[in-house]
Amino acid sequence: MDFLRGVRAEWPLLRIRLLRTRLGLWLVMVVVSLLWLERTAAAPDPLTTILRAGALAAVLCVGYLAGSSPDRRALVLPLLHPVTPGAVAVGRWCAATGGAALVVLAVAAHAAWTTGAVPASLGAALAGLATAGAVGACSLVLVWCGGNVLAGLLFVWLALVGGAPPESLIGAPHPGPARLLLAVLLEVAPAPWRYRAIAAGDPGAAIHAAAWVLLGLLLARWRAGRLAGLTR
Amino acid sequence: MTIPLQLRGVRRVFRRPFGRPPVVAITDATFELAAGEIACVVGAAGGGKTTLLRIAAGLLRPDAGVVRVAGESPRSLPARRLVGFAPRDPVFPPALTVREVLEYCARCHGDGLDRAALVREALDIGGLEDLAGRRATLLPIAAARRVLLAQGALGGRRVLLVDDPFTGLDAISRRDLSDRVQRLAAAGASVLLSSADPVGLERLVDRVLVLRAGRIARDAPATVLLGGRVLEVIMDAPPGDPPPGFRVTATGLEADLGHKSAEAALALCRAHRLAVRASRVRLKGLDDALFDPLEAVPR
Repeated sequence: MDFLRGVRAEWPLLRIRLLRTRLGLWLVMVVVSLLWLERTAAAPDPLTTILRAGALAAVLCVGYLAGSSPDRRALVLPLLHPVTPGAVAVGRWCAATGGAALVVLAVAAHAAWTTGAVPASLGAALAGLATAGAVGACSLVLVWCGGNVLAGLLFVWLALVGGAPPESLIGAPHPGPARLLLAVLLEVAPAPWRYRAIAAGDPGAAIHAAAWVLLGLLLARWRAGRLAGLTR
Repeated sequence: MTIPLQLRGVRRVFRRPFGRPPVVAITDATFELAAGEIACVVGAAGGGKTTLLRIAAGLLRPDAGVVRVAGESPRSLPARRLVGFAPRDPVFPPALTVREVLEYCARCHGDGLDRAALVREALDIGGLEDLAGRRATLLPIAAARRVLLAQGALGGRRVLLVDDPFTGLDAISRRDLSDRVQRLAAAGASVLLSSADPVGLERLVDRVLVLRAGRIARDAPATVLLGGRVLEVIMDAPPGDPPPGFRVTATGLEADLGHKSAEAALALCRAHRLAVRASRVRLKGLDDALFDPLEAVPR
């Protein structure tokens, strides 16, 4: 009960940050930009758009809800009350994923409206939500370790590279160590290319996303305790 | 009846990297806090006051010793309902108003009507009704400290730990904050303050703990520390070798009178052939407790 209370305490931060910071504006810009890119693409792919929207929105939400320096310093505030670092981490992740879910649902609704393929759009929305959850947990750990600089790097990575499968990088005859490293990162880290398969019902991709959520939340819990001075 | 706050033999050492020697922040700290009592830990900056409060709040784990809040470990959830901590530096989540900060904290305690009542009570404790709609991060320091006190006391905490609440405050704000702390103590809360500058705390605290180099050098009721008289002797030049019981100051000499009369002390100066320009007797202040020698003071 105390845990759930702590989780729910973090929720109102999403509404406040959406309305009073540039987070709302950034999310609208992400939606508009991705829809414009899809519209102008030679071969439009609504699933890719939905997955990218989920990933990018999750990073933005985490950045605005947890990544700033005052936010990290203020982590001690809830922990002065009967709340555990785990509840704070889960609550913050839920709030960030909730914000990203709004974006995913908006883009999925647009896809259903324009293509008329409602069941496919539902599957894509599910994959988008899984992407948002996994990327959100990963970015929560990153921002609590290194601030919004790391969130910015992750955003760029996901926007430029995250959609491509690792095979596209190491398919060349002599990929080189840099390409190999990028391929390993793409293979291990949460990335939209992998979670495409969730829309087709692939359990492996769903397990990968769930594992990232679990690992991310465990690390975020530890990090929240350290930031508040509880585990020193 | 359980003791609200109890520390026994608490020790905390901060280890440092690169082979540098560890820093002993707190050693052998033992004291208890009674219900409704206001105690103040005084000591120089970096003397371990904040560490002591953070240990009592359960934010830091002691390396040795026992901390109990109403008989429970301060890190347990039941104890954390009872102990509140107001940090020195105001840190609030950005973009939240004062009311939202208190609602954020209240959500950790209760639901529905309970929560609204908790927020109303906290606004009242801090005198923040007029500031409820202001952004917490933009508040002046005096109001921000009141928000910190309000969130620390939120939920009817029985033990309130307030870290250096008066630093940077003007006299009116200090008095206002003191009155609010006194009201909380009068309602039954045990309050442990810390302060690097004890001037002005005389009217607030019941008990003073002097912390020197991480050790509680004195633990005495404020009335005992404040009861003494000090003879100040002004001289043209301070002597190289002061008479017994006197210490050299910038303007001459100074001595705790204890039960002696001022005349007897001055006679000692004359016996040492010291040219006394002027003298005066003043009452001891809490700041004297910081400089007094380490003799035992009765509780």
